[in-house]
Amino acid sequence: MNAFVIRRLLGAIPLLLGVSVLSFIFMQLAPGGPDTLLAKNGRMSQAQLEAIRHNLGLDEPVHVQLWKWITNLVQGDLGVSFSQQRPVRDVIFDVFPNTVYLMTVALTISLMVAVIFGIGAAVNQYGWFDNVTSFLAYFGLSMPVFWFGLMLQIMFAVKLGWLPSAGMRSATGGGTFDLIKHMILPALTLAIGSIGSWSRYLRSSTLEVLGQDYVRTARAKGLREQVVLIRHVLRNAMIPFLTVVAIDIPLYLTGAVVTETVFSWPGMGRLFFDSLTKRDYPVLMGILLLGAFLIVIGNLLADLLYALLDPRISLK
Amino acid sequence: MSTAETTLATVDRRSMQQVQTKPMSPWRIVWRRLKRSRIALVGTTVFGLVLLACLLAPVIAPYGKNDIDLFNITAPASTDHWLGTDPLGRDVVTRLLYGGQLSLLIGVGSAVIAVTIGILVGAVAGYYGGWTDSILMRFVDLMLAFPSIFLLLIVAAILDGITVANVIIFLAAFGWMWLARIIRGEFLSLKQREFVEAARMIGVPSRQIIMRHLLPNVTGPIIVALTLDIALYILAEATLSFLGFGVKPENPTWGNMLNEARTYALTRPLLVIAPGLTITLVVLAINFIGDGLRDAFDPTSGR
Amino acid sequence: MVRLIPEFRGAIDPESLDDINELIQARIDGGISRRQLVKRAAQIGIAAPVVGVMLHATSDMAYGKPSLGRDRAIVRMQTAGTKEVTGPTAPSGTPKEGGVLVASTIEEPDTLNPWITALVTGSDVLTGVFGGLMRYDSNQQIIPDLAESFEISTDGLIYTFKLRQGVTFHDGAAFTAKDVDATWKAIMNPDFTAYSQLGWDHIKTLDMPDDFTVVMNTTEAYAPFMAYISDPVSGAIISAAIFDKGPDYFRGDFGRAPIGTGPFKIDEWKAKEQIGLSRYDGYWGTKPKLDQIIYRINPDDNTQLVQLQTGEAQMAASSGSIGSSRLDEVLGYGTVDVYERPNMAWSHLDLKHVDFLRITKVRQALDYATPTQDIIDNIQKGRVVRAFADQAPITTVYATDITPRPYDLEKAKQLLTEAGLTQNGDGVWEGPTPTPSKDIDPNTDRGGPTKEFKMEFWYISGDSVTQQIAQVITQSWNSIGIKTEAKSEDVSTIWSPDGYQFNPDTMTACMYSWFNSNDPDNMYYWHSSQIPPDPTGAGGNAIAYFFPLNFQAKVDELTVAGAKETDPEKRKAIYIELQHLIFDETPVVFLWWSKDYSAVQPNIGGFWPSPFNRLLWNAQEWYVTE
Repeated sequence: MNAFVIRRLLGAIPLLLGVSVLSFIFMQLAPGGPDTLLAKNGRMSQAQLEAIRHNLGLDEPVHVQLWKWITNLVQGDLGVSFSQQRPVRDVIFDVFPNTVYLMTVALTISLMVAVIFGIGAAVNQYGWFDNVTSFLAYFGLSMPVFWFGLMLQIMFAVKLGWLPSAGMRSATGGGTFDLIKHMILPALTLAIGSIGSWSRYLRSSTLEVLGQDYVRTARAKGLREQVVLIRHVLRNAMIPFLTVVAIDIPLYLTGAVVTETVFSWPGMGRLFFDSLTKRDYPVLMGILLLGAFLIVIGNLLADLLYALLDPRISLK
Repeated sequence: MSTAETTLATVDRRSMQQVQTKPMSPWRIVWRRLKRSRIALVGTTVFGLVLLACLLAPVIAPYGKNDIDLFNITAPASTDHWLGTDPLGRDVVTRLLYGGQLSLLIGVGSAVIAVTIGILVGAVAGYYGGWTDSILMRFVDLMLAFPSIFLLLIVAAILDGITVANVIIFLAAFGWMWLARIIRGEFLSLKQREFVEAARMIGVPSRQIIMRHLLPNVTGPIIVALTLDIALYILAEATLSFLGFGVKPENPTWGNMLNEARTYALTRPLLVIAPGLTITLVVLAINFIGDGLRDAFDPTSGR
Repeated sequence: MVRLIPEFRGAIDPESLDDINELIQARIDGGISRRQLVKRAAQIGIAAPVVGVMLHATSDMAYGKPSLGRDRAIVRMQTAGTKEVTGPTAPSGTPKEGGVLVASTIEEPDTLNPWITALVTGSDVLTGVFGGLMRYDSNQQIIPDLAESFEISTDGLIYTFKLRQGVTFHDGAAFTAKDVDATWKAIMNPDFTAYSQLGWDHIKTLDMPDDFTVVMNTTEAYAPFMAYISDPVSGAIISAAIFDKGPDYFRGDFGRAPIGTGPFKIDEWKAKEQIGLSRYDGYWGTKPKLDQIIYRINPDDNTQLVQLQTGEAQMAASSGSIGSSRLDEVLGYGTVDVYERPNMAWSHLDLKHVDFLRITKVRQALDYATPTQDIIDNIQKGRVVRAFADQAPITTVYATDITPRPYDLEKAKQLLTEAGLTQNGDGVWEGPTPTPSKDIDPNTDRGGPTKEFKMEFWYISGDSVTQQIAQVITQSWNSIGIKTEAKSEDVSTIWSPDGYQFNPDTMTACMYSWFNSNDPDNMYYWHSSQIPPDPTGAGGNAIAYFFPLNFQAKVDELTVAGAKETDPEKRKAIYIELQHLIFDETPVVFLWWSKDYSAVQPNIGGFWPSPFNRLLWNAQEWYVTE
């Protein structure tokens, strides 16, 4: 077991290295940089422009910049943001927790609703509950996420005025309740896609299990439906489900880009978008790497979960 | 006979019970199962109607796609403009019809390219195995490790001038990986089969083996993947355009219509509802078709 | 020493004044006119460059009383529903002690380091946090800040400042002359990457005879010296102890939690959400009434508008100004007053001077073919002022005798014909271009290859009003046979080395705005020394990148003369002549001057917006009434 974990972790390292180099190359191919905006904006002399370029390290040859990038990375230094002139690590971690809050709430909502919808639909196959939830699920995974967010915003924040339309907190500060009010709509938006796909997945997964022999055996033995459900069906249907969840979690990060933009949530998605506009390469690369890191972790978790929960799978 | 043919023929007992002198071809079986799927029917009808409408746009659209009317911007729905006008005074219905052309083109185009690449990479990796497989799969892992939307946006920001062709290419560039994995998996198991070994021993060239014997067995997953990919890519284009990195607004797509409508979301919600609902319904329809296809191809499903 | 705070002494006889500083003081006190000062200075033998120095010290140089034309321009620009800014807001009701004000903006500052911030939104906050030697009020008069009085030597080279005593920085450190010295040295030190060294780069040496006196020896009699070094943002005085912590700290952490001498200090900066400021009780001047100011960062104007509507935000101005297209919505809320003030931003169509665009008549034709007034009336709803040259209507040098060109398609076609072009079978204009060489006169030379008149019209993406305008102009040019294609890109791409300006094969127009500084000097836009040396270089004259303007020699001569001239009347005449030249030659198609719309709740007093000042410049005067 440990060998497996270690091997997978080691396998992730060249992957991350490859990701770093590739992302560096992408950035270098981009036209323009922070210094071009400066050249236009300020009434700067040519000498000053050169000095600033030198300070930002923009006048060094590409391979030198790449080498510096990699060596710094290994030490945990993600470079310095061009627009904010301070470590990328700080820039990202200023807003990272906000995205984590949102993702956690969204994840919880998704899981709860997906489990209820999915298993409930399977048990009630072809019944009204199945039809309704299936339709909702389909709708959920067919909508553009940001459109759903916009619709929620228009309906609940503007037309009805029940909830705040943007931001994470009120200007003049607020407690937990204030935070919750601000979080509902964006979390729901982030969750809707997963609710759709997970409940569908769980439905078919549960159906498959329900059709298995050992379930019929348990029923024949006279066990109550609930016991059957919990003890056998749930456990076996959940295994593949949880692995899917583990793989999908990093997708929340990417879904956060649009959601945070629509709701002005001060998180990593918005940071990514703002940095894109300003051509702030170090921050963009930092976020890219963070995302890749999370994906690799997510996959690792999925593999481990699968191995853990299903004794039939060998850990070779 | 290939394995798929045998499986489908054996399992579909109901059709065997009907008066038939010879076993049905697997395609007939799939087709019959598809016809029985109600949701697939609904999906096909809706999608077909939308596709038809968009293709006939030059004929049925009430206005030109770039008819600006600055005295009438963001007008509400009226008899002249059934869905109102956009921020430049252009008729929304017209823009939706023309927008559909591009959105569907991008969706289908990207899906076709992505599926093609996926098949190529997966087939080569699965068939040849060994080093080829390792390298290709490492590459797939690398591409999969990137959060695709981030990469997509960065590339979109880098490219000078987003044309429709650009959008199609780089959407496809970040979405072919999952099918490659599936195809590879299938090929890895399929190539152990006797008929493949037999063909090799006779001396049939590899390419022929792949094309004539192995590929037909995976047409099921390919078709399903293609369908679902189209849905995904239509959504992806919408997201890209909404963030401002898609096709430039001179040429309407459903996505960039949403981007333009955003400023007016609070005062003219119809501008946001119209393209968004259209996208949702079309994607829904395609998902129905895709699910119906999946059920039709998969002999072990509930019905 | 010259006292910065005026004291009314009645009229003073110029003949009784014999010294440069006496003259300055008399002018500040309103005892003599500008004309009298200049005349007397000449009489006592003060050299012309030094007179320029004196005029800046009296706030006379770029400012002075409004001309009649300017008043008329301001009245004409008034929009229904908005109020004109005449002074600080003064609501009825009793001012409250304390209170919290939420001001909204739509752009987050990049850093709160005053020397490094490149964004207006950064300066908006920083004018309330930092102090300079002096500052300007909304009538552009110099008022004292950390310097109480000054003296200028007769040769205009040596400035002596008496510093205010008892001033402390937000961390409690005492302010002394050493801080001014350290500030100067750091600005000139490239490690600290100060963006603007203007003014400070003219200091040869700096002496500190005591803790509260600073003597600056300058390299030449540089008229704008006082103006440049007194800016509380780019000339913010920073404690010497800060520099000792090194450039990394200065460029990094200090920019997140800066420390200055201003009336408000920074409490916290919640990234992408808001910046919290609170009153600094140790402030040397008028004690601020407000307890706190929250600078709320909204990602776009939709969000900001909602907050103004619900009252979550009580103010939106400067970098948070309301766009003219959203004005009607805001006026409809009823929760805020909107103040209108013309600003110094001129929108135009940049024309790259290649091929046909080097020919004056062709550019004039483009002007005739652009329905500018229609756009102003219908899209901008009359909320901008038609421009024809590069000096703002609110300045003293605005040429009131120029009439902009009307929308006349026939005239445009006629001019194109006169320029030697003809319409081909498809109706598109074509003809011989000037020889692609720098030494010919494009207005007569047609030695280049024959081309079709095809234009690319570039504009900045993301704004629907810009898009509307671009579409209208594109359609209009296409309608008379100039094959125009509209292209939208975001800002970074347009101004990158791969942008349209550095591509020699296409004729392009690009729509964007330049912001003038307080001084009419416009060498940056037109002078040949401001042509960028390469695509990544500095300089504002990018339209002449490939070939100099056909009137380059003349415009060089005039812009330099204007920059050097110290007599205000003569200077005005030069700039008026320059505007005529620019109007005639139409190097770019001028569109309009915009306005600042500031929204503020009616119960807020002391607010005095200005295009010459940033948001919090007088925040210590703000208060809330019951």
